[in-house]
Amino acid sequence: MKRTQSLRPRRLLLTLASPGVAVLLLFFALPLATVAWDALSDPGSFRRVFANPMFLRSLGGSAVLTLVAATASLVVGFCVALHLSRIGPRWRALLSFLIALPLTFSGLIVAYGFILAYGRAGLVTQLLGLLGVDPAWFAGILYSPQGLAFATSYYLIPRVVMLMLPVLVNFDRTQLAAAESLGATPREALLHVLLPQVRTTALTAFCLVAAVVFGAYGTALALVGTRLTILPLQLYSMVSESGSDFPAAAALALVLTGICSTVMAVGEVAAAYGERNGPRT
Amino acid sequence: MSTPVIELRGVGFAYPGTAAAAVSGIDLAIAPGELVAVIGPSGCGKSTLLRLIAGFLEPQEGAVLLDGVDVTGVPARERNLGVVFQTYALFPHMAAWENVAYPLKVRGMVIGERRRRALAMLERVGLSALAERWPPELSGGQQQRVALARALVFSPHALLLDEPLSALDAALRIGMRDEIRRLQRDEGIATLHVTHDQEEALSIADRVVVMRAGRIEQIAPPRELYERPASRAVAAFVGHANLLDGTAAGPDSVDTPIGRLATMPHGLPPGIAVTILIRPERVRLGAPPDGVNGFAGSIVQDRFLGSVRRFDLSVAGGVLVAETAQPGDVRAVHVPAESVHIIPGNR
Repeated sequence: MKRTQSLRPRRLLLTLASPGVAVLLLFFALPLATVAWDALSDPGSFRRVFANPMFLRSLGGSAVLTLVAATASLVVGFCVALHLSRIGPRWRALLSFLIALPLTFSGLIVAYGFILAYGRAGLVTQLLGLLGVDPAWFAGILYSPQGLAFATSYYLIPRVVMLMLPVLVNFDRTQLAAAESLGATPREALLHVLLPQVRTTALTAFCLVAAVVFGAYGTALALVGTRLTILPLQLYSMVSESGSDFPAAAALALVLTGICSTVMAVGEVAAAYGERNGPRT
Repeated sequence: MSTPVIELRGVGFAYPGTAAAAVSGIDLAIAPGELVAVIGPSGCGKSTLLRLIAGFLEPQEGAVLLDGVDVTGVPARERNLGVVFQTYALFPHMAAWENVAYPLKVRGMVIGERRRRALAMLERVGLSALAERWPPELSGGQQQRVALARALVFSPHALLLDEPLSALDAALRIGMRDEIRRLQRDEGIATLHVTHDQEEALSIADRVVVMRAGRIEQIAPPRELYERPASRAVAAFVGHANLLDGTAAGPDSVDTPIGRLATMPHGLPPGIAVTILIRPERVRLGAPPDGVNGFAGSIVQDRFLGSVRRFDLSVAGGVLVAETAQPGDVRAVHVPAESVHIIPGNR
């Protein structure tokens, strides 16, 4: 009797978990295992990836894109979240909804919009052209890793805001008033009091958006095709264009997955460390 | 007379988007070494007053002076005032000594010297053994001491305490208020202490400010405030009170719903409306020896409060609240004439 009772919840839990497990196995673990098998079945696949001169250039391009996009998104997202934390709950809810809207848009639509606005024949580019700015030079910025970094920030900033906002809303603002009464300037209060208490969340947010942008290719592909030298686009061209060295493509896919997972792991470790040690971190 | 450390001249302030002023027409001066407590019902403007002095708010009317210098519009960081907040507002990512040393850090003091001073200050509040602890590892009372040490370590012009004891339990609160008084006297620092606890205000303040609806109702030493309140509102707010509507009768008597009461000579013309204040502890048990102000009745409610009991005695024309340490039934009470306080007007 006792055993039957204890088994029931376990059976229920297994039943509830099974659809998720099935999806994970079929659409993540199995394809990943296939990719891994493909890469590892050819002993020279990784060597060919690392020997390819494109690899280092793409890695560098991805690193620049990731650093610029994640840093810019963190700075902008933090400022937005700080502002939202200071306003009333009603306005905060409305503005949070508006800020989250870009997450629902297709990257293709937004890339098309960027081209219409900032491309070589774009509205803003043409207007700047009237002021003497070279359209080719200006449009070239958008098609560089740095330019792409700002273009991708539109869907990274909301993620930063969503992560930072709860921490900033719950932050006891009296501490800033206390710091000011003790002689600190607003900048010192921010640096000495607020930032040390939110830096773990900020690092987690940075890692999350860095991992997302490092592996993303949709917006980049729509904007510049495969001309941009970043790892996801190199992988895309290896799979779709040349299509002759699938083991090397699989090896590159594993490298890309490994880098993204490592970045995410750093964020998770930081979050766990912050939770364990509280605001002292 | 020496220059007040803190002075408010006709200060008025209304929060944005509100029609009514949070405070208005505030005139107040705090002398060097004086402890002034501010009490009043919730929303009366007492915390706003403190925030105006601290520099967190800027008055729309009047001026704030520190040591005779007009600091209206000067940022909080330049006022050199020690503020202790209701929630303590300790920095949870800094050890106790680092919290205390923070004002010295922003003043550019080298780390060795600021640590030495912070530890010396913590010693003064009895916390030197806990200097390395993080705020979450300290009890409420210990956090309060750290907050006090932090507010005093940089030798501020004055100390502002915003309901600093409200988060502590009753027993700890009594100990801490004595500690605050001791430190304040030792430092000789002018202090404004905002509290909702009348007993706390009466027990430690040199003078007490009673606020109501954004205005000061009365400023007086604790005993005067308790025994000779200036208005019915103050009498009702401070301590327990029998408040009766009445009219002046003779030169030393008043008419009330419970009958004519003999008073000390009051000098009011007959027929003028007055409020009669009789403190419950001034009501004596038994019939009056001289036959003056005696009332017979029966107890309708009896409350045991530990050291005393407070009971409601139903008498002809009303109810008298009285306090006594004696147990047993009560059939008669009397009120000595000197215990009947007359407040002109009945509002």
